[in-house]
Amino acid sequence: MTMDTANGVEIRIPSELGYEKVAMKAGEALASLLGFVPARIEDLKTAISEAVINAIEHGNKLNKELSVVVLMTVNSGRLEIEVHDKGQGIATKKKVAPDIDARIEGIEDARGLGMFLIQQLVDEVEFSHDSAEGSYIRMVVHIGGVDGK
Amino acid sequence: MESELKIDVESVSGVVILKMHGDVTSFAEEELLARFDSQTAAGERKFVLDFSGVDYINSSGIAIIIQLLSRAKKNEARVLCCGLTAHFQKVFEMVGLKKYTELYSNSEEAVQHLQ
Repeated sequence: MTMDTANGVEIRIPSELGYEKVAMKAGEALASLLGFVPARIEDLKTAISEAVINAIEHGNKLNKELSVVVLMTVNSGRLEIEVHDKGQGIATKKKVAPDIDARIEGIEDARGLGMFLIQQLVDEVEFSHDSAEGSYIRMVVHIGGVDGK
Repeated sequence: MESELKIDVESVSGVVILKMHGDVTSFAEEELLARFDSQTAAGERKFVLDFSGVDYINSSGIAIIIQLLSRAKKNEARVLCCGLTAHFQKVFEMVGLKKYTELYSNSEEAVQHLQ
């Protein structure tokens, strides 16, 4: 299967928790068409879920009037997924393992694992911020890499 | 829009098994933590979280599991997990949860390890 890199797949979903599953299913279908192994498809689904939930909750503040747009394209052996919202975005985060001890002791909030999971589950992550258009997370999975197809 | 989490409670050999059906997300917080709290209030100290009926866990759901394990630690309760897919076993390991619980294939194995 080939994909025109100028197009790809675009999904627009309401900013309501639960709709991340639509994007997950679409990502699963696309990754399957591209021949990804099942384990990598599961990684991608979780990464998409976390990125879309972040867009719904933090970017669009659960405002159902606003949409989250998910763009999936294949470009030079890379599956790129962008998740767009109308928020201010976040600065690029260093990959820091969560302090599970602090969370168990209640010293740190148990929440906030989404970004860490994304960074662990895909090959590249880019966060954009402070754009007048909104913000996005771009996730890249290398097709045909060691853990890919 | 969110799927509900349904929890069946069963007692086997002195172990409380919380068998979950549905999604473990932020919407599961009240049900799961309330069930756990009522069992610990009744004096129960051995638990198995059975995820075999769960297809979807997101980071909010993992946060709830962390909260539950935190309450278990305070109550000196032991909590083991079973029925997770290979993917979610990997996710649990990534976030460090294996330091506070153990993962088994099914509830029978988990119950055996609490005897």
